[in-house]
Amino acid sequence: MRNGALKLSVFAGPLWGTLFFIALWPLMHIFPPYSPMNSAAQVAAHVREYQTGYLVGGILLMTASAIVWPFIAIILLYLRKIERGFPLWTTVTALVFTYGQVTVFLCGLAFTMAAFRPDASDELIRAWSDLGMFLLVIPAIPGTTQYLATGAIILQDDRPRPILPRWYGYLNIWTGILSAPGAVVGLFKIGPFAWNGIAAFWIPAVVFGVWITATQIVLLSAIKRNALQDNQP
Amino acid sequence: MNGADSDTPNLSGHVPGEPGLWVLIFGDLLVFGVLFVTYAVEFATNGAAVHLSQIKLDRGLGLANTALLLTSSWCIAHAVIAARKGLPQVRRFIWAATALGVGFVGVKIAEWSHHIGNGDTLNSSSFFTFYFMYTGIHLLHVLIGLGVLTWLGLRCAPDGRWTGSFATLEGSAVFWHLVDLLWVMIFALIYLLR
Amino acid sequence: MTWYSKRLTLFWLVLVAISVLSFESSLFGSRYAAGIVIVIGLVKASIVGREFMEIRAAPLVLRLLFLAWTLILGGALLGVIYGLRP
Repeated sequence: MRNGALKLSVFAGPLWGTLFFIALWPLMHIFPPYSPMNSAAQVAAHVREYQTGYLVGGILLMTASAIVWPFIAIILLYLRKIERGFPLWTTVTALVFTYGQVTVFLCGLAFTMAAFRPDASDELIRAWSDLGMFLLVIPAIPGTTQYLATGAIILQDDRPRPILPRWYGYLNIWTGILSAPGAVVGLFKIGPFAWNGIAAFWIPAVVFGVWITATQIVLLSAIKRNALQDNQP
Repeated sequence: MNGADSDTPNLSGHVPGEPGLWVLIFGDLLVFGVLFVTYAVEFATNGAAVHLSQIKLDRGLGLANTALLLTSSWCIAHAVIAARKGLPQVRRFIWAATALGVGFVGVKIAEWSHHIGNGDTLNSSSFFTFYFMYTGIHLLHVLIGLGVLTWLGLRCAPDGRWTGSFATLEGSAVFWHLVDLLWVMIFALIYLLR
Repeated sequence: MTWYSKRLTLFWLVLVAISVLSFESSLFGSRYAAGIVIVIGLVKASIVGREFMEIRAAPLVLRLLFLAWTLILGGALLGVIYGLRP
């Protein structure tokens, strides 16, 4: 297998992250997110002001969900290599990854809907923009399953020299546990567990940033030492 | 005999569990630190409202849960000691720790049902949001820990000795102690701090 | 049970005793009550970390990180509570 192609695949991860960040921050101006307490008029005014940003940002989000696959595929190849026998948990991880990217696509679509007809009523615009915010934060629920499954596979590895480092397995478990609070944003409009709060937004966002950075480092070093060709018993 | 302290010097410089585990432990400590300070800010700036909700908590149940987890920690620590000495009591101590952990969950469920029955739910007041969410995130840790303990108990040798990896047993024990440590802080901040 | 750890059992007793004795500490009524509750909580957490998690015997890095967590968290909690409270 050509290591160059593998290395290139890893960079689909940061590319995904970059598109995401460009969409949310300079284009839609929802990083940090607007308060869920905002009135329909305030949210609609925000969407109308950045209408083009919302539309282009929507395209970038949908594009991100389409170009991330080499990154996901390479993670899965390593997990498949680690898991012996029937690759049950690798399959679980693969399915949840897939479903997670569908939510990214729908998130872009919801923001597109919010900005598509600026002459629509304030309530309608806010409803679509709110849906976009939910699709941004709530998919922490499937994320938790995916991270815990990934962590369990890596920690199962009984090779003398593990295919992926064990600390990265523990990091996945940490990420999984701390993404979970994103699940509750539907309950709150204010406070640490609202979608702009410290526990439901900032902690999962920082934890996710740590995860995606660590994943690149771990994958690149595994490619460097040809771990996919590893023949340890 | 004077207890097991004779073997402690051998541990000097030993990383409990395995090095990678501490990524999870310190990562969790860091994030809970942020959560604790967030609560302190709410407590300091909105004290009167916090007090109105906080007096509804049954601090006795919090104390009972503290005692359950501390004792559970003592048990799992002794499972590790028994494994180091090659004794057959490992499984017994793992199941004792598990049973005490299940007791913690039972008390928590009773406590939550009592508050929900009284109409104090997840977003009735800012204090109850903190209360349910912090104890809920902690409960997620407890449930993961109980899963790990059960798995350990099933992997003991038929005579109750531990023949598997020491790092796994020790690491799981460290995670279980972390669950205890976080509860000690939650008990102090949410239940006792007035 | 002749092999149990006296040291761990002693610390377990201390932890349970502190928990019971400090139960009413928040009702002392003085402005130091909050500080006392926080310091007692952190002392208990350190005992769990040092004795049960065996950080006491771990390499220096782990010991320092844990000490730093305890001190920084303690400083932040006390600072917030005494600094922001009206």
